Amino acid sequence: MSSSTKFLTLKTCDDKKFVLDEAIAVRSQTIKNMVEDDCVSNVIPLPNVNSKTMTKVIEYWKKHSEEGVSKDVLMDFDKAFVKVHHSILHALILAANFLNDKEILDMMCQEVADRIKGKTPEEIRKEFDIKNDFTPEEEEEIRKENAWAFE
Amino acid sequence: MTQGKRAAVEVEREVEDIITALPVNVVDRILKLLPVHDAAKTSILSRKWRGIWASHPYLVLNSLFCKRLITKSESFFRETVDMILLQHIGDIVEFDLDVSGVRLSSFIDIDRWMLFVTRNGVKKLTLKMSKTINTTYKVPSYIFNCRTLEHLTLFNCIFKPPNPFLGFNNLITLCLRRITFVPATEFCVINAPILINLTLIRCKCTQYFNIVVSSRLKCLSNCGGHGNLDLNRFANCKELTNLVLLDDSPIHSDEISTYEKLIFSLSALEKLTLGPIALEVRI
Repeated sequence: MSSSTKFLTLKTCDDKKFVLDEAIAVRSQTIKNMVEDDCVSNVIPLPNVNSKTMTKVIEYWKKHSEEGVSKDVLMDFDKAFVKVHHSILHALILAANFLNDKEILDMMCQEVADRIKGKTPEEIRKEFDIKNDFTPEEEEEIRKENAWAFE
Repeated sequence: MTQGKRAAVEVEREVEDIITALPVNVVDRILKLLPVHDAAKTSILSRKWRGIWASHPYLVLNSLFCKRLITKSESFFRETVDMILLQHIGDIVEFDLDVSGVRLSSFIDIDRWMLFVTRNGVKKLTLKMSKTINTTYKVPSYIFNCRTLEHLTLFNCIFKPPNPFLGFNNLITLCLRRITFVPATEFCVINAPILINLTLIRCKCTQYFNIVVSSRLKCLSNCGGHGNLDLNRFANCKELTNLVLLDDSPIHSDEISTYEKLIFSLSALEKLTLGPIALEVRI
């Protein structure tokens, strides 16, 4: 590691601190803007991200910053990365949105879309714990409204 | 779409789930990744989801969608698109309609839908018409006059701007494929002051395409067209980085000087694709 390596300290909402190479942390556009605008003092607070989620994000950043990792290895890593419970998926999307990391956000949105695609409404509700708050009459009404989609 | 408008469709009993609790921009992003059938189906999940689909700003009615519906009947296709647009809440930022693979008995519905989206904030419009029909669709005046339009892609249409025409003032991308240009009754130019990408593919009568671009133009393509597109009008494009000029037949020797003049006037040019042509390039 060269002597010019700069480190940033990130503090999550549950008061855990993460010390990270600046070159890796700037994968977040939000952090990058803060660094460029010289808004960075000692610690960067991340009020919308908890430590569990941040650990996952950093795991992704580090893997994708490693040198000499083949495309296949990265693809396998990404595949495993998105195979998480929907509550973690949700937290990662919010974190990626806040950190403004388009790569993670796109990947996570794609995963949600893939979990919806081709499924019946009942299966989707089960997958994401969605509560059906329609009366049977209303449900029938919507089915009629969008009959073309339910064929 | 403003938060206020979207909130207006919500009913007090609505229940949040982990997806609907996400920011609106993220939910729209997820829905955009779904085929339109799957996206529309989410309306039955819950009240909240019904509102999300109804106000989804990206409507992509692609070739698969159109073919699937028209296999049932043309009236079923028409009623479905009508229903989608009628139940829509708020702006339609992106509208994509691809009827290039189906045969329509008339274009009346297309006109109606175009009128609707151009009055509902469309920024990105893609219209691909059929090539099998005897008559060709004429681009209606309201597409030309749509103030919100930033990206326009047209396929298999007749292109005749209304007169007078104030120009495409907000257009950034213009992609025209298999378009036939028609001479205007009076000479009129098409101003496109902030256009960045201009693509013409297999267009006819390009000599009647009197576009006036500014120096902001970055990419210009003209491929396999018929007619004589006036290249002199692009000589002031000081920021043009990518130029593609491809023809079916070799370029006449008397046209080479026009090409040379254009290429050597473009100081920012980074990528040049020419052919088939025998031209000595000195850079």
